[in-house]
Amino acid sequence: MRVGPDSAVAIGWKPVWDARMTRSGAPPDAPASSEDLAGADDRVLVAAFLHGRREAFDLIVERHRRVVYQLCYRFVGNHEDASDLAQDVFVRAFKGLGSFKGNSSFSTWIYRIGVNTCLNRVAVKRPATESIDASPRADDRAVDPLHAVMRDERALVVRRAIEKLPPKQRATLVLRVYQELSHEEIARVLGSSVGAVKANFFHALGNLKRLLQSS
Amino acid sequence: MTSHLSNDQLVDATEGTLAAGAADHLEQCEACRARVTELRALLTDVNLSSRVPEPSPLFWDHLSRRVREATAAETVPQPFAWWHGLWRPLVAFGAVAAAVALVVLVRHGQPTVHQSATATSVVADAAAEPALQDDPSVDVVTAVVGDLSFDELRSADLVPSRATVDQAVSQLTEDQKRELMRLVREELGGPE
Repeated sequence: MRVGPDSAVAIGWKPVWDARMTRSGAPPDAPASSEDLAGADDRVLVAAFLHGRREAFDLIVERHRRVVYQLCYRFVGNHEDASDLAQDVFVRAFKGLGSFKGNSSFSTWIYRIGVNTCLNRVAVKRPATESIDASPRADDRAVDPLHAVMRDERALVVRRAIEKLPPKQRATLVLRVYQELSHEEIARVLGSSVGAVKANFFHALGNLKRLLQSS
Repeated sequence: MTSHLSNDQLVDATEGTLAAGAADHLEQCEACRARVTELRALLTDVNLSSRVPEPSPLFWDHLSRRVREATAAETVPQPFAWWHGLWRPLVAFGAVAAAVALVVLVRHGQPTVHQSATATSVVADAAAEPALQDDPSVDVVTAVVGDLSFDELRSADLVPSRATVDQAVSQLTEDQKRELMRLVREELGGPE
């Protein structure tokens, strides 16, 4: 694992993320202050954290909390469960960072934890009973009220149908459409091939059509 | 291109990344175009259902604080290191070492041990014992310690503890104890 030099140069210190860091346990030539860490890329933050700089993990959380929360929300459909899940994802990341090898980007790695955490949660908990009143609304000022209600109702039906998809198809659809990841990125997150991701995506849409017709 | 688009190609067409040859087919094939239109309509539905309401601005710091509190008691994990993959071979080596120690113990408690104190003869005799004849682990032990002397085994910390030896000796028959004493005297160069 090697940190790209650009970000490190930009913040004025020399990265030493090499064999010495992983094999001898020697402390890294890390930024002296949290202000220095703030400009560092994810791998530099991971390296600093693994050598005892807890504030580096705070910055990792700050950087990824919105995406992680949104991912969780799209699996559970309500704020309370999504915030609990997001916390769980970061706690797992904290404990597991020692095994982060840097073969994929940190974003991919945390997405993987997020998807696994969400799929585990939805497997043991029945779907939330989200009412039309609680569903998220777009800016309705430019839309007539009847149209807005119909649109929100349709959105709720679609979300309910997505919740009934098999786990991998659901994860693929969420990552592709909601999180806007490429098929290649999804393959890395789910640990499968691009072909399998496309097949899952296709079958997810097919199943979704069937579920929407039956509802 | 005469056959209809595959599932992968339908996905590509829906996302506007279809290869040129397949795009020519799509232009001419009404059935494929209908499927692509249907998939796009579904994606539009999914897109419209995708909004996540923005939580309170205070929520983000609250989330960070919750994570900090939840991990406060945790120790920072150690970096992944190349030697982490070595525990399996080490366990295997430990198992072999334990087997070696066991055989050494058994052989030193048997009356058929000969003058030579080398591990080679000890293990060779062990292999000749009827009780151990069918035991495949004897072959493994023979291969591992075949060229090691007892002193080498001891320096490698592969010999049993004193307490284990004492216990083994206490279980010997009277004949075996006499033979053991004879071997000890012989080894020490004392009188028979």
